[in-house]
Amino acid sequence: MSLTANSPSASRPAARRRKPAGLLSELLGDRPAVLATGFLLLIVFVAILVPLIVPHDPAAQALRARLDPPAWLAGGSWSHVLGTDNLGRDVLSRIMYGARTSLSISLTVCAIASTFGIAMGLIAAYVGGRTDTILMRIVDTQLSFPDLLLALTVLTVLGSSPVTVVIILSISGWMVYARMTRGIVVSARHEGYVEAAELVGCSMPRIILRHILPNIAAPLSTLLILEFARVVLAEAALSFLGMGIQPPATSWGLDIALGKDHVFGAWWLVTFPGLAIALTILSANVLAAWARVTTDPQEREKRFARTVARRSGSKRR
Amino acid sequence: MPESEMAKQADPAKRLVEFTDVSVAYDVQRAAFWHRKPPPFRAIDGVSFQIGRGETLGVVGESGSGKSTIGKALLGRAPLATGNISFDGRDISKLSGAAMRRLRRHIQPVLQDPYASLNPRMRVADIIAEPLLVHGIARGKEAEARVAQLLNLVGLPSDTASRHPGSFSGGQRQRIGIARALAVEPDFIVADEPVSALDVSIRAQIINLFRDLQQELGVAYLFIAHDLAIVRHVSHRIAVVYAGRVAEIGPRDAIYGSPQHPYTRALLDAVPIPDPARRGERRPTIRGEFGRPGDEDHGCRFAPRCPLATKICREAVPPLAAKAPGHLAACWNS
Repeated sequence: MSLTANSPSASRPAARRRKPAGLLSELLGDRPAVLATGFLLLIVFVAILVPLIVPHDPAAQALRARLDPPAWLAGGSWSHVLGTDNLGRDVLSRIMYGARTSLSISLTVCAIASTFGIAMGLIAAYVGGRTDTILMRIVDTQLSFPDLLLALTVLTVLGSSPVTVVIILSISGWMVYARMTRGIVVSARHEGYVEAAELVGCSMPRIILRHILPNIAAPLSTLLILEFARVVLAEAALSFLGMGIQPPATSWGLDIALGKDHVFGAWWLVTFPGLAIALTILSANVLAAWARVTTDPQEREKRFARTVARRSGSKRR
Repeated sequence: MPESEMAKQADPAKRLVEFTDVSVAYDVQRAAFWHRKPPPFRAIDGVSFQIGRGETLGVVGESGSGKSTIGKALLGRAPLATGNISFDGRDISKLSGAAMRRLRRHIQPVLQDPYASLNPRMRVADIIAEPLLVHGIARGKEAEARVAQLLNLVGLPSDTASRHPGSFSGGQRQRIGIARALAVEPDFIVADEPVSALDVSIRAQIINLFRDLQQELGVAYLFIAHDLAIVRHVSHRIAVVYAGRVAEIGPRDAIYGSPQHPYTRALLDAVPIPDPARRGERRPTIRGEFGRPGDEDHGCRFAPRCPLATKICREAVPPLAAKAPGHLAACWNS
């Protein structure tokens, strides 16, 4: 029985922790989401504070300490907790700086792509007619194009720099926002309360800001988190292929590319940056799943029912 | 159109709204360049009437008759094909943009579905205060005071203001909708089937509210409904609409007492008699399908279903002619 299969310990702290109001308490009731948020916050924290907390200069080479293993293995030392690479650079420090690169690129891309995409979606939905058709066909055309291939081609021709990477990833990422915004706005325009707002005499900007955009906020937050994960992965892939971040700078994808030659002798060179990428994306997806359930009243009700069932099941025992 | 007869309907000095030969046409399909564009669908066709200050015109008709389109045309949300609409002596049929928004200070809507017409994410206070804000009438404390006053006016407790519409019943929501419409002190309210979505038990309350508010504030209504029993209690005059045309229009008591158009008679006969002793009584009913307005352009549109139809009914459109002072019907045989 599913009621008894759940561990009672999972529900008890949740039952006691009902004081923090609203969203926070809902988040605290969901363990995977708590872990995911915690990990993402850690990454953000590291990315911001990296110059203060980093143990070594990520570019400092120490040829005597080449390919040192992580601290807990024979031959490792606590001064290089996650070991060193083939030039004696500290793996942990490089991952910390890599977090900064990944995060700043991904967040910039998300900001540019979502702003542009939402604007296009609003225009398509509001102007309608031919403008709508043309914009949406552009979206379709671009979506049918493999975006990584497009990015590689453009970067090969233009040469690679962080700015070009941001631009190319933004160009290949705005369509989803445009399509989603258009869909929601078109359906929201037929809502009675939007019609009422128009008839009452509200101006168009006011209707969009006060009556339509609040509908988009919830699905948009889910989409933003998912897109963030996609962009982290895309940046890592481009850097791995040598078309993203270029050497003196660091990036998780670049670290893996440099470490792949030593994968049999020094597994830690690819494993730790790889784990950083994987955990970031996993956390983002878990958080997106939580956000989706939380913003959908029906799903939320189901989750609430499950929590209650679990709680009463544990009480009965 | 017999213009002189029209003029008798409302005293020109007190005339607020005037429809003159108004037609609304919708494109059925967008024209693709290898197809010819199908002829536009006329939702209403040559409709003329007036409404005076502080007066209620009830509009009755079955689904698809164009009664809602009349309201939409007045609110500037229907494309006029012919004719013009004047409000307070001013032609409003060509207004758009900012001018249209300014007009909305004087004409406010009460919508059919109180469950859809209130934004679920806004507090009741913000919903009611929104017209005040957008028309620059009041804000902040002043708007709050006005909201409290309006809630009192429509018979809602003052703690309603801080809650969201989700916690109210249909009747209460419609009261909120009415309070919003009244916020800017309009001269005119278009009520499009304001009680159709409500429980029968609370319809009477809302209808009485409409009536009381009119006595108190002198606001005029276009009150749209699909059955005669409902408009009877609020209307001074009633227009019966069939297939996009006015079949009969006149003072309430004349419409109920001596209906001139066979369609009006059929509608009155369709009102159930609340008397079990008369249960077995059979009354004549009309049969057949409701013809789409715009399908045929000659003859009376009611002719295919009319028990009185003669040859002329199928050949010439009956004019809206006076049968008694202020009482007009479009029928050859009455």
